[in-house]
Amino acid sequence: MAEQIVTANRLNDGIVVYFAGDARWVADINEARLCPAGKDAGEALLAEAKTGSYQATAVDPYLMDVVRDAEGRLEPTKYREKIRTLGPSVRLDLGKQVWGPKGHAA
Amino acid sequence: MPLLENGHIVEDTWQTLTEEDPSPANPAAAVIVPFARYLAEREAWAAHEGPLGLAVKAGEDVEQLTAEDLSRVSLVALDFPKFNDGRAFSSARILRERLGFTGRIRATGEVLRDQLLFMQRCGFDSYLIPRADAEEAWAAALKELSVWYQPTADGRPWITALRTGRWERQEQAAE
Amino acid sequence: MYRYDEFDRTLVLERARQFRNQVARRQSGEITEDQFKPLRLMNGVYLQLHAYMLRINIPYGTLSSRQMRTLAHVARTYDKGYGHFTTRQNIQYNWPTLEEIPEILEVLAEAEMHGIQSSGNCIRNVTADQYGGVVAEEVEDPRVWSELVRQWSTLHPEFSFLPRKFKIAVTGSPSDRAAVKVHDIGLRAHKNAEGKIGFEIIVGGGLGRTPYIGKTIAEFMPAEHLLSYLEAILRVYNRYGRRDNKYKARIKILVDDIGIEEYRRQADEEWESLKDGALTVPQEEVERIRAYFAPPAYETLPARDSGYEAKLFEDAEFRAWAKVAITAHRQPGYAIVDISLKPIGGIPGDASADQMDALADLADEYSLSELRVAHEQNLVLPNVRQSDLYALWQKLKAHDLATANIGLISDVIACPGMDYCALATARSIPVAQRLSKHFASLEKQHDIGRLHVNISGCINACAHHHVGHIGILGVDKRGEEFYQITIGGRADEFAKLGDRVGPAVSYDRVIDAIDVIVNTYLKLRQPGEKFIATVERLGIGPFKEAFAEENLDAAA
Repeated sequence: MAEQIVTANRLNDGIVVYFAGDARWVADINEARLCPAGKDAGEALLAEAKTGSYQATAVDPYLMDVVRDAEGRLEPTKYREKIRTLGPSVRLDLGKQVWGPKGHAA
Repeated sequence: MPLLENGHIVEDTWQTLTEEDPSPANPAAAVIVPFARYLAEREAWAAHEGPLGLAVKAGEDVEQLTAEDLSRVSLVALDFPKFNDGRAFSSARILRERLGFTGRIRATGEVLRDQLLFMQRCGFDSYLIPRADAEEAWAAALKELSVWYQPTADGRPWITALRTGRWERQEQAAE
Repeated sequence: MYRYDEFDRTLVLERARQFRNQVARRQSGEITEDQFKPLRLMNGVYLQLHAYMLRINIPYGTLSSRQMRTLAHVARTYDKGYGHFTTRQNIQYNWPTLEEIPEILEVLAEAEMHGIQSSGNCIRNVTADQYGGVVAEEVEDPRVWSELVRQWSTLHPEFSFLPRKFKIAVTGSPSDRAAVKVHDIGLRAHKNAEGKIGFEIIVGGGLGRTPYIGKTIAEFMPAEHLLSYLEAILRVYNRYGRRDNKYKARIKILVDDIGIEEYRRQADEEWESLKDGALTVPQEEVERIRAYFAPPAYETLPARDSGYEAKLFEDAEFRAWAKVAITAHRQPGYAIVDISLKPIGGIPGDASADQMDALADLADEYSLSELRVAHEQNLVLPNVRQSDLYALWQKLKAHDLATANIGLISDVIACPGMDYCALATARSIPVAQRLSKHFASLEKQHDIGRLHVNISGCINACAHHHVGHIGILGVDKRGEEFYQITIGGRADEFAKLGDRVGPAVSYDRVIDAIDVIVNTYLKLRQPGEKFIATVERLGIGPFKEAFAEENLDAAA
C-alpha cells in the first residue's frame, strides 16, 4: 500500500526537497514525513507543509505516493517522481543519483 | 485601496457606483459609473454636473465612446480582472492614441508593481494599488527602465526616434 | 552581426538589475511565488524537475565567437559544464541557482545577450533561417528584419500579457528553413515586380495540442509598414484571443474561429489608425541595421577549390560528411557548414563547455568569427573557405563534432522530455539515443537518405513532431510511457501535418515501429526517391498496413 509524502523544489537553488515536519524541508527522500494513503490524511499533511513561511523555502508543494523497497527505503510510485528523485536518466553523473543507485545517501 | 497618482498616495475623491446603486443625490459628486450602465443611460448622465468617470471591464470595447462622450468624461477606470489579463493595455492605448482621451486613466483590479511601467507607457496615470506602505517602492518601479523601443502615448522618446534624430526634430518643432 | 548601441545595452543592463531586485523581493517574502513566476518566466527562468532552467535567447540564431565563449563560461562557472541548444535557436542551462541567475544575466548582458521574453505570454525570441545572409538562393536577408522585430517586440508595453505565448519566424529564401507556416506569425520576405521588398505575412500556424498550418493575411506588405501591421495583428489578438482556456488561447484558435477574412478585416481596421504613424520604419534605421549585416571581408576565390575537390575524391569519410554538412554559399569559394550536435547515442542539442570553446576558436579561425544555431538543434559555421574544409573537418572530428548525419535519420530533433522538463509526460532523449544507435551505420543512414525524425515528450510539441517526416509523441498511459507515431509531416515551404500510422506503442517497441516504417519505405521507394516523396506518392496506407501486421501495440 502506497503512503504519501510532500515534495517541492527549494527556492534558492531549485533542487527537489521533501517535507520532514516542523517546517523542515530535506533533500533526502528517506527523511520525509509519511502519511497514510487517502485524501484526508494527504490534505492534512499538505496543509501542515504549507504553513508559516514555507514560501521562503519551498516552491509549489504537492503530494506524491511512495512505497518501500526491499531494504525499507522510500521509492516513488510514478515514473516522473522517480526521475525527480534520481536525476536525468540520460545523465547518470547528475542529480541525486550520484549519491547512490536509489538517489539517496547510503 | 490606496491610490497612486504622480508618484504619491493620494486621496480618492471618486465614488464608484455599481449597476444597481441609485444615481447620486448630489449632482456635483464625482462618480465612476459602470460602462454598460453609462451606455444604457447616456441621456441621464449627460445631465450630471459633477466629474464623470467610467469603469470599463476587460472585455468591453472603449471604441463605443463617441467624441461627445469623451468630452463629458474625465476619468476611465480600466479593470485588470487578473494581473495576466492584458486587454486593458490595449484599451488604454486606444483611448489615448486613437480617441485622443486626455483625462485620467486609472488601473483597477489586480495591479502589480512590476506592471506599472507597462501601464504608464500605455497611457495609465492613476493606479489603485494593494499597499499604501510601499509608496516609495511603487514610485521607484516607474523608473526601473529608462529606454524603450516602442512609441506609445505617454510621450517618452523611443529608441528609433532617438537614433534617427527624429525625436530632436519633433521637440524643436514643438517649441 | 548586429552590435548593441548605448540604447540596447542600457535596456539589457537595466532589465538585469530589475530582475535582481525581483529575486530579492521573492527571497524576502515580499512577493509570493504566484506573483514571482510570471516575472521570472519573462526573464527565461523556469523551474523544472531537478532545478531551475535558464533559457537564453540567441536572436535569429546568430552568435559571435565571443558570445559563444560567454555561453561556455556560463556553462562552466554557473552550471554543470554543458548547455542545450533548442528547437527555437536558443540555449538552455539546466542547473543554475536562483541566487546566481541575476549575476549570469549581467555576465550575458556584457556579451549582448539576455533571457528577456524567452518564456511567458509575450512575444518570444524571433527565429529565422539559420543561413540568413549567406545562402546562395536568398532573396532578402532575414536578419535585418528579425532584428527590427526583435527590438519592436522587446518589453512591448501593450503585448507583455497576451492570452498566450507568441512566436514569430522570418525567412527570406524560397526554401523555408524557419518553418514560417507553423508559427503564430510567419514572415516571408520577397520582392514585388518593381523590386521593392515586402512580406508575405502568415498568421495562425502552430503545433501543440491543436496543430494548424498558418494562413496568409497579407501577400505583400511593404517593408516600411511591417511593424505597424504587426502591431495591428497583435492588438486584435490581445483583445479578442481566448483567455478562458489556455489550450485555446493561441492566435491559431482565434484565426480558426473567426476565419482569416474576418481576422484580416479586423487587423486592417485596427491598422487604419496605426498606418503611417510613428511605427513606420524609417529607411535610415533599416540601413543602420543592414550595415551590421554587410557581407564580411570575403576573399576573391575561384568558385570551386581544386584542393577541396581532390580531398572529396580521395577521402570517402570526408566525402560522406561533406555530402550532408555543406550548403552552397552565395560567395564563390566559400561554404556553409552544418555541425551536428547529434553524435551517435548522444543527447540531441547538448554541447559541453569545452565544445563551445572549441567551436568559438574554429569560428575565429575558419568562419570570420561567426556561428549560427539551427532549429534542428545543430550549429552552423556560415563563412568557411572551401580550401579550409578538410582541415576544419579534422578538427571537428577531434571534438566529436563531425558526425556525418545532418538531415539523416539519426539527426533527431528531440525536446528535453521527462528527463528534465516539468511539463513532459514521457522521455524523449532516450528514444532519440536508441534510435540513433539502432541506425548507427552511416552507410545505412546515407542509403535511407533525408529523413527528419522529431520526438516530443508531451503534447506541447517543442520538438515539432507534427511536422517531422516521422513524428513521435510521448504520452502517459496509466503511468507508463507510450509513443504515438505520425508520418508525412514537413516543416518547409510545403508544410504539412503528419498522419498517425497506428496505435501508440510502448517505450520498448518504438524502435521496432520506426524500423517497420523505414523498411516499408526502402521496399517501396523508386530509385532516388526520398522518404517524404514516397509517403506523398503512396499515401499512408502501406505504412499503416505494415504497422498493423507487426502488432506493434501488443506487448514486446
